[in-house]
Amino acid sequence: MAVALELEGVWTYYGPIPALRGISLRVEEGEVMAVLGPNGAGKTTLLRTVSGVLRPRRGTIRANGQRLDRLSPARIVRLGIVQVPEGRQLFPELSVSENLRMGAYTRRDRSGVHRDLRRAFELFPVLRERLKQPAGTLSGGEQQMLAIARGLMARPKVLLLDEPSLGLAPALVTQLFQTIRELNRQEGLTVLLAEQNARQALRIAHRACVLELGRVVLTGSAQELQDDERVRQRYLGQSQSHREEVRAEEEKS
Amino acid sequence: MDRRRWLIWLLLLGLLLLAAPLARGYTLYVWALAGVYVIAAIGLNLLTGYAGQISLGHAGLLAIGAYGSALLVTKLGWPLALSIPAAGLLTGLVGLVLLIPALRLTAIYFAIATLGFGAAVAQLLPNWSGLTGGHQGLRVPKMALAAGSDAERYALMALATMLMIALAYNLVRSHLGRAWLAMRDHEPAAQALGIYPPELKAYAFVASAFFTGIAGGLYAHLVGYISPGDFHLGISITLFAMIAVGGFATVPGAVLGAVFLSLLPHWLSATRELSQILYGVALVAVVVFLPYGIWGQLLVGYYRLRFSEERWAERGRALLARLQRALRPMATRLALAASSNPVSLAVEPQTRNTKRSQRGGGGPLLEVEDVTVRFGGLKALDSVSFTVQEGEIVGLIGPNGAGKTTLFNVISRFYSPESGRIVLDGEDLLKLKPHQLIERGVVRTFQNIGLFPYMSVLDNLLVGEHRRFRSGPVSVALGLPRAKREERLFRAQAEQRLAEFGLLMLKDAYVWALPYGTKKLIELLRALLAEPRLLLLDEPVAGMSQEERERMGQLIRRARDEWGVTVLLVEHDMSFVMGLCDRVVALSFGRVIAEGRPEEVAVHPHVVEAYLGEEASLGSRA
Amino acid sequence: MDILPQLIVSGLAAGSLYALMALGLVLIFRTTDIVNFAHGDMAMFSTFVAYVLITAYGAPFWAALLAAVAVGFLLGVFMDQVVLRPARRASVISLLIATLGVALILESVAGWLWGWEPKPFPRAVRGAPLILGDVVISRHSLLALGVAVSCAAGLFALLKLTRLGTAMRAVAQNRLAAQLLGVPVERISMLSWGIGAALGAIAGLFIAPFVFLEPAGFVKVMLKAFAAAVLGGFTSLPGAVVGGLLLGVFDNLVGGYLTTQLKETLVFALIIVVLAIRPQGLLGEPLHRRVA
Repeated sequence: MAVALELEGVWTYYGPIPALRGISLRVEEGEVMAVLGPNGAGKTTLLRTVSGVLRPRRGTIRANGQRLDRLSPARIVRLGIVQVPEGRQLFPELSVSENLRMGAYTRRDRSGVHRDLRRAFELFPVLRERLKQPAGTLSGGEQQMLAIARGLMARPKVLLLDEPSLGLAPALVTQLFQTIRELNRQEGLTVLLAEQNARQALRIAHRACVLELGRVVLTGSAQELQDDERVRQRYLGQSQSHREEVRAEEEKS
Repeated sequence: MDRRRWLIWLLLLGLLLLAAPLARGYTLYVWALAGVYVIAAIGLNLLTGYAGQISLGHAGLLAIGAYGSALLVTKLGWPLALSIPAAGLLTGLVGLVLLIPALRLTAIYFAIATLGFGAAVAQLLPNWSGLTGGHQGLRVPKMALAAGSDAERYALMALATMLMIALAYNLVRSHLGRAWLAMRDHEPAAQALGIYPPELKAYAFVASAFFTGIAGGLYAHLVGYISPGDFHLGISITLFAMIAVGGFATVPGAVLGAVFLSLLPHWLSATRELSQILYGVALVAVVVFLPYGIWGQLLVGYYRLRFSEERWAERGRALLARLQRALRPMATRLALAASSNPVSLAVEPQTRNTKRSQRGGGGPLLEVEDVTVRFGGLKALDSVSFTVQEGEIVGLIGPNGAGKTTLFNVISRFYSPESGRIVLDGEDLLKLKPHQLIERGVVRTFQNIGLFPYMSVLDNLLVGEHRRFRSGPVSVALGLPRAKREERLFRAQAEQRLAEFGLLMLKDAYVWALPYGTKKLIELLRALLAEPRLLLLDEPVAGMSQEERERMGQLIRRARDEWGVTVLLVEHDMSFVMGLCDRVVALSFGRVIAEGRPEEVAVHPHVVEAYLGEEASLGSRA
Repeated sequence: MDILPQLIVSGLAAGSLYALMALGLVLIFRTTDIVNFAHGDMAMFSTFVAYVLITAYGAPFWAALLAAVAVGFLLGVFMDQVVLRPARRASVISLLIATLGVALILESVAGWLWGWEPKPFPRAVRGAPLILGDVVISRHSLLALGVAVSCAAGLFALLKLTRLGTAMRAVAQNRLAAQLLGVPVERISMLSWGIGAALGAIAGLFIAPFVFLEPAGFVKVMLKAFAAAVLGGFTSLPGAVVGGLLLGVFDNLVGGYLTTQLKETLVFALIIVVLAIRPQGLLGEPLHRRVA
């Protein structure tokens, strides 16, 4: 399989403080890769560095053999690497339709844009009903759908998703992740998914890595990570000892 | 120490005076005028640099001081020694008037409002010609000792300037100066530590206006003639340029900037145009090359050298070792307790219970009843109720956006709920303002660290003692023995506490230079030193390494076990919460969805669904 | 004769020019988060260029206007790309200092090149004033009103109807998101500065005949524009228009019925009163207090 995105020894700083400390990572074409880790581990920094919003101080980022780490964010979008940022980041006073059109800002093919608009409405029918409404008036779930639909309007080859489950009810999260999986299966969309909700992310990911304090501490297939004791303990919410304890309690009673 | 400082002051003054006979009259005049700028710039710096309120209208205050003193002398025949301080006080009162818009406006609006204030004064002066002499201006007696030479005026100005610098130093090195910086850099944290912003801002406005008024008075009697043209907008901006170039929030910076920019045109014997262009270029250059100003940059460079991050990382490791040692007795006891029982964690509640009953506590300390908070149409909290018993460690969990931090902000009184009650040991907390909570023993930390980056560790701890200081601004500025004694006492106390924790080596380190984990620790320490009954911790271990998390956990437990602190904490790290907390309250979409012992809550179907995803938990699968 | 209609009409004419300047300020503030304290001096400088073209080279008003717009645009671009770009991440206070620095430079360069004394600036059109019932309005004022209205309309059309305008609004609302969608935010902020400063230049050219042209004289004009923007809420473009018109009328009413000597002082008082009642301005959004 071809490599869709490759990071090598990437260091990104906020002032004097390194937020990424030598990240190396490969995302294969057509796979869903999850980036897990606690708040402040550097997941968002990682995605923003790939998108060119933050500049790495050291290291290289490549997509299809091309260096990204010196390109402007606009050029990176044109290369098909598109991010749906954390917390939705819609344009609250722009209408749903205007938000979607902003997603296609870099594109010149009118008919293609029109087709993708229709596809967005197929994926998220509720957006069609809200077309003229300011994005700020949508509900949390609708906003997240709009954010993803907006990202898709740029025709990404690689979609970077930052914390899409943030603030969504569980049923919605499941639905959303289902959509992401479908996009990946049907259209071969490559996805780099940063998530705190490790359980949900691992269910749709092929591979995953764990970030801690700006370093990759673990990489593997989704199954391997699911079975890893440390991951279970830290990110799936329950530890081995804990489970034993609960079982002990249950046996007692 | 104090005597040495006196000597330095006298030496400086002596040098300034000795230089006088060497210079020509005009040079002396120019230097004396620089003194006026120094005092005014220090005044502006108190407000803008320290208290963070941008003023572009200080020329208006300068004018009030100048005209005030001039009129007191010419119309009422007061002596200069009285009229100048009186003019300072009068200007101070006007400064108090400026406080009113400042309390309501954001920084940039206030800056615009001060621009308007300057323009208003500049328009009033010529129009109130009965008093001010209109555009013609006023002729004013010059200051004099005997013959009234330039050298005399120079000497008087040198003396006055030194005096005002000393007053400024006394102010900024006191609890007031610390509170100003604290408010500027993190107002909520300052409030949570007992600082009442309107009060502190009032001091800053009055002090700033007083200094500027004195400068105005001195100006009038140095030059001997004042007119409205002396106080145009350009002067306000020049003053602003002086502190920007010299460095915000430092006294030497203001002195340096004022002397430098007021003498520069004379040195270059520049025309009005050229000197203005130079000011302009200086301002732009400062922003691009020296964002902290000349003096600020020197300080930053010095601290970079002395406290580089690598060095602190090294020291941090040493620190860790010391802390571990300090905590060892505690750890041994826990280990012993653990070894006596096969199920390691299960025994702990018992030990805790015995401890609690020894203290005779155990009643509800904090009661949250039916609290609802609405932002726009969104219910951030929806009739949330729970209690925290005395001596408990309670964890508040829930997905991002569940309302945890909102709840913290309600308890610490930054938000007011639409309905509901919050009761601390029988007292209604909703009646209090944020700064009053610390007196009731409620202390909080902040998700993004509520330390003040441009202050030393020791000063950060001292802000936590702010409420205990009794001396007011006047006794502080004058350096009265009472104020000095108080400062010494609290400083010694804070140092002693740092020493107890093996952190004394950190006392002079600026907080911004410290590694993240150390900052978190210091914030917790500051909170503990306030001797809280209820400690609110907002994500105490976010972004910390495993080692640091464990240390933090031990510290929190020690606080509860040994000092009887009750803890309510928000945290995402589930294993941390499970390991530390006696009880857990789970929130989702603003509602309490589960409450109970950690192991119960962890397997509670609602929690599993909301927090961990809808799939059955690993626990039940196993 | 009732002077009220007269005061209101001439107030609207002056107010429309304040509104135009305020629009530029707000546009810049919205897209780049910077309050441009050099706004008045940039307008002054552009107007001076027009003045020189008219008086020294006999250029027609319209040609001079075009030149001034071009100079204004370039000054805006210069400010954004040369002065502010290296300091993009600096604090609000630093950026404020930088614009003040540019204001000082522009003012003194103007004084140096063209002298400090006030100069009479020719009106755009001559001819007898128009009389409508009780109201007398000069042709210049009428034209100014027309130009201001069409500039405002043009700006709104640009923002509402074009892709570029949508992008400008998008950058104003969420710079990061716009950047992530491939909007060249640097170019957008440059354009906002250019357009904002050009609007200032147009306003400057029409205001100059009323106030005389002098390097330090536009500070008062800028204060009015600030006042208009603050009244309107500083984040709202329609607010800037409303604020400007209200201010022009208020100014004239004070001058007509109370005193001409303390106009500025009372305008300042008005702002303080409005802000004390509505800290977010008339049409601005409430500022949510952020904790932690």
